[in-house]
Order: sequence, then structure tokens, then C-alpha cells
Amino acid sequence: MASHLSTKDRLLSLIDDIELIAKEMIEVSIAPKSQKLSAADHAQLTDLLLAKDAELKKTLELAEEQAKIQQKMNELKAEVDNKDQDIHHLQRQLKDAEQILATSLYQARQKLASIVKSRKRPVSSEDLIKFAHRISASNAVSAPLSWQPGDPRRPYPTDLEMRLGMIGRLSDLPVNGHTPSTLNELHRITTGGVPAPTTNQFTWHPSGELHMSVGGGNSVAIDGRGKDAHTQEDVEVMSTDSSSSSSSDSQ
Amino acid sequence: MENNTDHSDQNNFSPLSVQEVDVDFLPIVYEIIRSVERDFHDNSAKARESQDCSQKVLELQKKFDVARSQIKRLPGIDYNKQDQLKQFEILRTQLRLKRELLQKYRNMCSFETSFK
Repeated sequence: MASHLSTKDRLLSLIDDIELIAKEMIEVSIAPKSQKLSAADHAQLTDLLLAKDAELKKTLELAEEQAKIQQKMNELKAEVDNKDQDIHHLQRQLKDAEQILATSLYQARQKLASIVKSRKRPVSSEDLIKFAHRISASNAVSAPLSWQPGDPRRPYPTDLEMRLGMIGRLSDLPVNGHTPSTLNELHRITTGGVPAPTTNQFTWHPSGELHMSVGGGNSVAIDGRGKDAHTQEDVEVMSTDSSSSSSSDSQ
Repeated sequence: MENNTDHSDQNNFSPLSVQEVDVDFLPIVYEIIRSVERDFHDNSAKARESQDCSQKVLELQKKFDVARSQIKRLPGIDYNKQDQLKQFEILRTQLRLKRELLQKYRNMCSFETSFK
């Protein structure tokens, strides 16, 4: 008996064998007497049929055992599936925990880095307060409580600061001769149509030189300081000093 | 036995127990051979016996077919016993490993405070 065959195949082949032998026996029994088998052959065939039947019964017993094993296996499978679900559930929870921990670790590292940074370059509170005073002294954050129309102290940029910005620089791009008129136009737009007075003829150049337009549009440098450091200082002084704003604003 | 056959016709895919499988072929084979070999003097009796005999042959054929379909519904016989036992062992190992893994997850050290 080939042991590699499944029990089902063995049972089916045994049934085939029994069917074949039974058919053979019936055919032999209805055959004419001349073609009938000898008694010995007949007995042999009968023995074979009996042996096959016994083997079938034995294999069925084996099938019964296997059915019991199968039942146990089904129980095991159910338990394995159950454990699988538990494991998946636990893994999902661990993954969530890892996510939360990773985020908080990242934030903590950022905080540590900023702590280290602040320890390397400590700033005293005195300096901070001094700086805050300096910012608010120019009324750059809010207008003073006693502000009245015409008061030059206000929290929006001064004319000079505007000229330092992008729009102010754009007007410097064309030829120098056209600059004052362009600036005047720009000024007119920003101040609501009020024409710029003649005093507002100072042009700020990126080079840091202050020019004054004279007559036919020629500009004359009145401040020869070209160094950036000085210019910066100048701007700072001008911006912090509220009285340095143009006269058009005060109107 | 007939009831079992009817039952099996109703649901061809439900698992069946070994006791329900009808493999009693020998009595029918015996009856067929006996009726074939019996000598009858009366012709009408002979014709009746012959009809009975062909009926029994058909019955035997049907019994074989039913037995085949019943065997196909038996649970756990898709493998031979050795292979089935191997599978059983594999499942047990799987279950053990999964239990160990769960235990490992549950007993996992909550946090290592070794970093400075």
C-alpha cells in the first residue's frame, strides 16, 4: 500500500477495486459454463473481495481516527487565529505608542537644543527690557496714548523707511534723472493725492548716498558717506527719531 | 441506510462521520450471485428473479456511487495520517510560538531609562 496516498484516495481506490471484483464475479457467474472460472480461481476472487472489504473497513477506522485529529486541529486553528488577533491588536497598540513616543522625543530634543543654544548665548533680562524700550520708543509698535492728528509719532513706517523697502528700491531702477518724479508719484499715491512739497526732494539710493534733485532733474550728492555701517546707523537714528519724518506726513 | 442516503443528497458538502458511510457491499454481491446461480424450473419465476437481479445490480452500482460521494465528505482524510500528524505538530508549534510572542509582548520591559 502506497503510504504517500491520502486516506481519501486510498478509500476511493479500495471502492473501485471492490466494484471491479464484484463486477467480475457477477459476470463470471452469468457467463456460460464453458467460460466459467475454476473453483480455485473463484475462491481466490472471493478471498480478494473479502480482503479488500476488510482493508476498506480498516481504512475507514483510520479515517475515523483522522477525523478526530482533524477536530483537534480545528480547535488548534481556532486558537491560533485567536492568538493572531491578539498579536495584531497588541502590535497596533505598540505601534501607536511608538508613534507618540517618537513625536514627544522629537519635541523634547528640539527643546533640549534650544536650551543648549540659550545657555551658550545668554541674554540678560536687563538687555531684553532695554531693547524693548528702544523698539517702543520709536512708536513702531503702537501710537502713543496722547496721539492726535498731525502727531508725527505713529506705528507705521516713516517715509524714509518706506523708501528703503522694495517699492522704494523699484523707483531707483530707472535713470537717476527720473527718480524724483517717480518717487513723487509714489508718494502721491500713498498719501492720498497730496502732492509732495519741494522739501521732499531727497532720494535714497541703495549705495547709501543721499541725493537732492536740483532743477532739471540732476542730482547732487550731499552726503558722501558710502559705508554701509554708517548708513545703517543713520537709518536707525532717523527711524527712532520721530521728528525726522517728512513734512508731508505732518500735514 | 436509506435515510442516510437521502440526507447526503440534501447537503452534499456538510462533513460526515465515518459511521454514516455505507460500505456494506458484500451482502448485495452475495444476493446477486446467489440469485444468478439459482436454478429455476418455472420460466416466469426465472424471469422475475432475473428482473430482481438486474434491480440489485443497479442498487449495487448506486451504493458504490453513494459510498464514493460520502467518502468525499469525510473530514480530515485529505492527507495520510503521517502528513496529518505533521500538520498537527506544525499547528502546535505555531500556537506555542504565538503564545511565547504574546508573553514576550506582555512582559516587555516598560521603559529603559539608560539614556543620559
